[in-house]
Amino acid sequence: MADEQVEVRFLPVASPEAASLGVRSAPALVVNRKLSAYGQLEREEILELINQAKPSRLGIILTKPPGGEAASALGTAAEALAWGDQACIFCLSDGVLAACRNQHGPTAEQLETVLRRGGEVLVSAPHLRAGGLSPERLVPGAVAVEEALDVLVDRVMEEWDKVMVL
Amino acid sequence: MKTLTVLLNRGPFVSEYADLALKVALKAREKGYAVNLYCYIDGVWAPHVKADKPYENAGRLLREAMARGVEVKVCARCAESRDVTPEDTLPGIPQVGLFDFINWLKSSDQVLTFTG
Repeated sequence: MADEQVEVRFLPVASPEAASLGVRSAPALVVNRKLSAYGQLEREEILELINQAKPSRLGIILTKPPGGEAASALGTAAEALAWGDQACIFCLSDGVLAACRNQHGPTAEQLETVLRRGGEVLVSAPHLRAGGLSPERLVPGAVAVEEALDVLVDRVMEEWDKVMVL
Repeated sequence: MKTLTVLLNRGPFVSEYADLALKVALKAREKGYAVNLYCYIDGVWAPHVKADKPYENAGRLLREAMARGVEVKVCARCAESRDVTPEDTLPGIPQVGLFDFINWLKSSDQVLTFTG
């Protein structure tokens, strides 16, 4: 789990935020913007729910070019970020194309969302070169990584809580 | 020691996945992690005894990975369905059931799936 502060609140029913989260009865325990439980809870139950709601570090290894699967990968990251988790997209192989600027369509929109929400986008520099691309072709915020597999293994084994490969 | 398991579903010379899976496995070994490689579906072609050519290929990377301590297993059903016999597979690589992969899945710190 990431070492981040955890925001814990008990929402009253009659509030716009409670309505947006679909709270039906009070009190509602909300941890990091995630609705965790309703009603009267024991102390141990509250602590367990807080522990479950701590932010996770999600790593997504993207090997696909812009299109359905790349958009899904970025959309997953964007959703995780919206719920307070951390997310990193690591672009390898044809996935480097998904981090290039001047794209149009769902992949570009999701990429912009990921970066705006504080997600990290790392791109394999050797794979960029293999495709005749330079780091200047990347969207602002995406970072070319020279020792890509070295950094990738460090992230997978020491930093990310969960990993997906698409 | 942390353990990484890599699931490879793709054969060599089709896409970059076999090479990528093996290069990640090698890098993880270089960094001192225990590494397992389970060859599943068309991944059973990667450890074929003839999969070593006079040009860059997954077979050579796989031999290097084994020499550096990566433990490799092949799905027996996937191999049988492709007429890849135990004699067709590199010595030291057992053809096993999916339970072996499940055990690796359960006991590993991380799992990477190169499925194409």
